Amino acid sequence: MMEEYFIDLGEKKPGCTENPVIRLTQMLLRVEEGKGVLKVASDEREIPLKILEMLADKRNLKLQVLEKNGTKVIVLYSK
Amino acid sequence: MMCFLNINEIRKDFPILERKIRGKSLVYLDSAASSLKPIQVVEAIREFYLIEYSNIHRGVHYLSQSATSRYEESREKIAKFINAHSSEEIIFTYGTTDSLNMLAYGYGLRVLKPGDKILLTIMEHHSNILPWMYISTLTGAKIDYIDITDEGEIDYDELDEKINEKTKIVSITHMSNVLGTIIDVKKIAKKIHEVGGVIIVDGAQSVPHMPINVRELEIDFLAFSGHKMLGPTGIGVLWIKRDLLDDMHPPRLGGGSIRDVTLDDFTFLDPPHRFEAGTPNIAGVIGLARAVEYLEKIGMNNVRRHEEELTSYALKELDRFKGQIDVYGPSSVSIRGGIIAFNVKGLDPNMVGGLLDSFGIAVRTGKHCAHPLHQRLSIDGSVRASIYIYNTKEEIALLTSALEEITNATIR
Repeated sequence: MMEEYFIDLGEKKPGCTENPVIRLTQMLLRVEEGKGVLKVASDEREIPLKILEMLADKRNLKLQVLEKNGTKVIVLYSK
Repeated sequence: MMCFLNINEIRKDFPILERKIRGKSLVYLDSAASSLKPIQVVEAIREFYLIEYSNIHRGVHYLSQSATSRYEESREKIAKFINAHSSEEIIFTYGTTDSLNMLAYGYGLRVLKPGDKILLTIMEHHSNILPWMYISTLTGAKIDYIDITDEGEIDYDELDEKINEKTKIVSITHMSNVLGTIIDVKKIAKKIHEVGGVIIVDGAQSVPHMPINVRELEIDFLAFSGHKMLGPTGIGVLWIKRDLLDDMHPPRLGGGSIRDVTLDDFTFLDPPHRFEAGTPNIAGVIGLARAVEYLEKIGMNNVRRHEEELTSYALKELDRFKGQIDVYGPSSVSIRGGIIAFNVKGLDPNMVGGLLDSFGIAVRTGKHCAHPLHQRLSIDGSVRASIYIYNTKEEIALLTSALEEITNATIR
């Protein structure tokens, strides 16, 4: 059964190793390896949707926009 | 562009460069974090472990004596590489961080008194800040910092104000691991020597990338790492000017560093062995010596010229993105190495790094163990691309092409 990962890019923790974007790149690798799918919550004011789309495109992943509420988006990365 | 190096031949020595990342050629721009390893270094280590291995020093059997010769010949090689007076000035450590800690505990703890000053720069790597912070709490010495200008250069005007008779130690980077700024350490050495102090140089980013002559620079201590100069991890060098060898107390004590031990006392061996307690990273030393041979064959002047060319090209290309990309550090390549930190406006640097990874381009992101510098620049991190002998103009073009796609995607 495929795992479902979730990252909220707005949830910033202190410390330079706790950045959610770093976790995003780590989780995307797992999706690329076929280990699961990744749901990402983001704010377009901080990260444009085109950037999230570019990540999918360059890594041969599918991106589905699950929710869009003003500038808030939730997307799903899958292989 | 004139080519001082036969890049194609050099690149053949690095099999990792054949790798594809997501179907794209690997563009490795992270040598400031750690350099790639040529097959010659890997083979030297492999051969040592497979057919020459033994522990060193004091052994009476052939393998031990042969390994000892290899180890000490490596020391000679490295001494010549930096133009040390003699090999006794070369101490093998585990890396630059280890070397700087050895200096803080072995030298700083001995000479510093309450009210004395340790002078650093605001650009320092944490490995050249934290040991001194701790030593200052133990000794009562105070730390002061030389600031940078808006151009990312050292504010040399501050030297007269910051260096006085209370300044016992100046410990500074030769090349910033973020800005690429090359500091005129000789100028600072002269100033500190006038007041009877010493200068410690963090050469982690400079020794792999430019000719180093410790006598010409007139410095007192130099620290550098093997893994940033084509060598293996776990090996570094601390060079100590021979006049100061007896002023330094070995901070690590144990077997291999003493002449005699009784129940009440012990006597040290002469330098450098008194500073190398325990079984050292013998294979690491062999690998480092092979890396030095590799670099000497290329010629450090050629290494520097190659990086100047690529850095100059990179800065010129990045200038096209003015208003969209902020580049930090000096604009003149005569005072900067092949390290380029930048930010894409409006994007987290880790996101930029993740995107570049999607293009097969390896850079480093974050604060690069230089939090005070990032606070000084009022930024929450940066992307860092760093160049070495195996990088090409085409790879820089790939970087800027990727950045163009990224900046276009940020236009809201």
